Amino acid sequence: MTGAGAVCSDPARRRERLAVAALAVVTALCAALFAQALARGFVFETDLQALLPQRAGAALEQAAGERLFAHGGDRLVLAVGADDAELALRAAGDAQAALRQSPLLDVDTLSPATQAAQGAQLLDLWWRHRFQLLDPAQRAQLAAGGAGLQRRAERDLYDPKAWGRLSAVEDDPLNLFEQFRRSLPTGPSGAVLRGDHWVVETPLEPGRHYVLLPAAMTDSALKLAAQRQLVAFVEGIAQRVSEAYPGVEVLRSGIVFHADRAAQTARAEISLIGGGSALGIVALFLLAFGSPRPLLLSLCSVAFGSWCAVSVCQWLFGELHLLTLVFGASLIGVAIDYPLHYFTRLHSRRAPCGRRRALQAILPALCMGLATTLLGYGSLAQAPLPGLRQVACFSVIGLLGAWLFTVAVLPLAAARARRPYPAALARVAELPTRLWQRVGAAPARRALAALALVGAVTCAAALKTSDDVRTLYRPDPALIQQEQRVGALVGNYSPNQFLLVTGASAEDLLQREEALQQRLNQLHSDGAIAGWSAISQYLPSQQRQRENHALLERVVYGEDGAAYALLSRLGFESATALALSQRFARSRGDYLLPEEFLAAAPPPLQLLWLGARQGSWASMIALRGVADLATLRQAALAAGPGVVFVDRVAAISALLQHQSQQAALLLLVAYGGICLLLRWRYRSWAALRLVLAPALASLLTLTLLAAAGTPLTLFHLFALFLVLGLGMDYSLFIADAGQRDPDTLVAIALSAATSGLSFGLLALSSTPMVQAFGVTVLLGSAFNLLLAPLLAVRPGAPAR
Amino acid sequence: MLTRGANSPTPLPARVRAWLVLLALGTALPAAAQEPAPSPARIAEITRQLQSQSMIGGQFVQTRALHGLPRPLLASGRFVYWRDHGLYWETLAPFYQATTFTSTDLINWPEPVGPPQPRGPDDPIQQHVTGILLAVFSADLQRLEGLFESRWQLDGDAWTLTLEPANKVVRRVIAHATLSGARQLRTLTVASRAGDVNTMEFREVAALAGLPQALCERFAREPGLVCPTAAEGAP
Repeated sequence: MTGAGAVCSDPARRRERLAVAALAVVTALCAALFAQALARGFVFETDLQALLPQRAGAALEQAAGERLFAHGGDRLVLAVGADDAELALRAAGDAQAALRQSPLLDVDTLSPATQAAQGAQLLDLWWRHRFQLLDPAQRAQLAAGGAGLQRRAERDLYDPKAWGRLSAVEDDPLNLFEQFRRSLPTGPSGAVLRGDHWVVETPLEPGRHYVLLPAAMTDSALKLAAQRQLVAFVEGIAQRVSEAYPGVEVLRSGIVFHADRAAQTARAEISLIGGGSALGIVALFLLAFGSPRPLLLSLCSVAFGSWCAVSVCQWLFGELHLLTLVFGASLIGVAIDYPLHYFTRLHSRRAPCGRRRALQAILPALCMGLATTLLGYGSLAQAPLPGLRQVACFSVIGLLGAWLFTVAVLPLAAARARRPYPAALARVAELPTRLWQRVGAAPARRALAALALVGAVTCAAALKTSDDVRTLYRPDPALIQQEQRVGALVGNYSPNQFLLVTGASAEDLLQREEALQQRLNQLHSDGAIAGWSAISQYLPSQQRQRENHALLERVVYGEDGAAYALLSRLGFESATALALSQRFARSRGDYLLPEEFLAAAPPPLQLLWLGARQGSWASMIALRGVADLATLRQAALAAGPGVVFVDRVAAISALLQHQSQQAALLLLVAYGGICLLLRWRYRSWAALRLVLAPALASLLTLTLLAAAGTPLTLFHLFALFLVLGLGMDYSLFIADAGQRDPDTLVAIALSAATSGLSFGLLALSSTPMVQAFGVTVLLGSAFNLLLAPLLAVRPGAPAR
Repeated sequence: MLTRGANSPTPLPARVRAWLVLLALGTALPAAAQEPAPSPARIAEITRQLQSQSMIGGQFVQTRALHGLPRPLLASGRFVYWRDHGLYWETLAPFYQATTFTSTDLINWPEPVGPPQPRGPDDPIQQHVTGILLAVFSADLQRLEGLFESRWQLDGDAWTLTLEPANKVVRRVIAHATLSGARQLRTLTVASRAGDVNTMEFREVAALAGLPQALCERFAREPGLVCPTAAEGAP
């Protein structure tokens, strides 16, 4: 054990060779794993729900949600609004012509005419099976005897409205098919078709007319690079139209706008933060050590650690979650401490050592530092959540790799110190120590104890937690507002809330959906939802088709059917009636089947049908205007097995909450483990004081957050692990070298500065989770720097 | 032995040929006069004349020939077209049936007096038909030409406009349509793709100066429409 003031002892050659050998083995291993991963292709998982343990059925929910989401992912909608519908139409016509110019957009696929043509295929299919199709109103009417149907059909014949009939009277005397067709929703509700555009007037903005211009993105537009170009193009058109037509407003809606804005913000932030921290770190290193080699070697050690971590984790887990990469890499940022301590020892003012001896001098503290940090992150490995386990594994391996690199390579690769670090740096680094000396150790400790108490009380009283999904991504408010307005016009279905229905077979599935329909109508009239769409509305189950056929036989097409009565009343020949009855008889058992239907159905309907998966059949019921989640959940529960209400937003919030709870627990476990390690290493309970610095720093950070009203999220907790790691390192090095050792103080100051620059600048980000991380590390590092010199007393040494 | 001109027709002297050509032209001219190329100016004049009226009304007789039915269905009633408000179509025989077609709504009046039927779901096909009807009565040629290929035939004061659908949705419903009239619209024939032919003859069509209150209120679902009285309404 070395004492205060570095004594350059001769390192054991054997240990050095061991270190180099270990590094070689590790490098070879990781190279092999990396090569394997390269060959197979790296798998980066971006879905947050992969972080959760897989519930049975969760995979299905995920697939369903992704479908709904993807349906809107490749399109955008412009809404051209004005008080005068004609003005809006003219402006929209111009806008559409301009939109057509771009190869990135396809304006015609989503036009009402094309959709009507698509619908035509479906219409033909329905027409072929018209004797099995009835809408609910017709079913009720026929069940009650069908009185009035004949009269109504006859009256309709004389009406100019009847010119819109798609079928001849002799084929469908009571015009039942027309009624069935009309009962099904087509375009946006409240919309009127003018030419080839839907014009919507919503009660939210009475007197204002909006012309909808949907456009699909072509394949080339889905590439990231084209995104910016597309958004700029559309924005240009929107601006030109607003200027050319005063009083006209162009709203935009589409995921591409959000993605573009997020990318732009990220780019700006990465430039600022990345650039700022890079510059700062380079400047710091050059200032302290006067040559670029220390910086390079430090970066190499961190890079080596990261590379090892990526290789091993990819092999171990088969994939790497993006979140793991991001947080794991930042936790490895602790690893830059090791080279820093080495270089400050190398460039020592007081007792400079040779390269190998410098390492020897700090080796004990280095080992303990590694051990405690590994304990800290290792505790995450016990989490029941795959996500946390991955982060733990990544951090542990990364740290080990970086540590090994430092121990093995740095003594060999480092350049001889030409000059020690600047004296000014030493003076600045000694400031905290001088402060405590001025105040006096005992009063300082008493003050800190009091502060700790206050902090504990504040946290207990005021600290809130938040599992809001918006911590992950906060959309631009202007964009969101436009999105909501257009959503209200188009009548979008919610991509985050839907009902998932499962059944043992396709028929079972459809019957279950039909059983739900009444409940859904009830929810609609209660105002819990504004609308819903289920495939069974368009494709009845075989049982229902049978029932429909029976009803039609009883009232309309059977013996003395109303259809024949009307035909004869109008004056048709009896041959016509006979032909009709024969057609009806032939249609018995000719059911409309799912495969046939899906082949003719337009994409919005197709996506509702998930088909056969893992032994059961599944479909979605899309919901619009979800207002009352509790009622929906209850309704789904009451509907029995096979019906699940899926709320992805709630699921993600629950996920975040679960992870937060686990992380908090494991943080405490980490502290406990570290306490035990210290007790074992220093053989005295007094060693526990070493853990006080990070503990108190964390507590004070939390107190400040609570006082500021910031709710605690999972990412604050991740940052506290980092604070623990850094604080322990500071404490251990100070305990080992002494409170007065300038080298250690300088190393700690540099470490805090680099942490502040690399993580603290993250506090400037607009993404809440990144900001949370940054703020916590910034505050925690500052407190660590302040408190470690005071609290880190070497066990066994008298308190000074 | 065949001589050169033996089997070919004797070439006419040049002068005779020229005279024959002139004769042919001469007989062709009157035929062309019966089908003068409709001049855009004349068409514009007809359109202007039809568009100049803000409110017209009259009676109609509708003949509906259904495919497979030997005898056509007959209906009669009256109509009022009020520019920018809509078309009110009231069938009086054989049943009472009244409908108001507006650009945004379709209002059914089941009884001569009383409230309308509740609004049904929107139907894009129906909206197309309504749009066409309103375009016809308002002489909105631009709108019609957007949906149809049109062909004019003029005969003195009378005109006939034949419409072939150019729009996919319309083509599904209507096979072709014909309008004809002179100073006012006289007949409208719509052949639907389902196989029936509807012919409407308009009689006693005249510009209206105003409407009785009850009739005026049928142009909106809610009461409260400002109605032009006989003194205010412009012919």
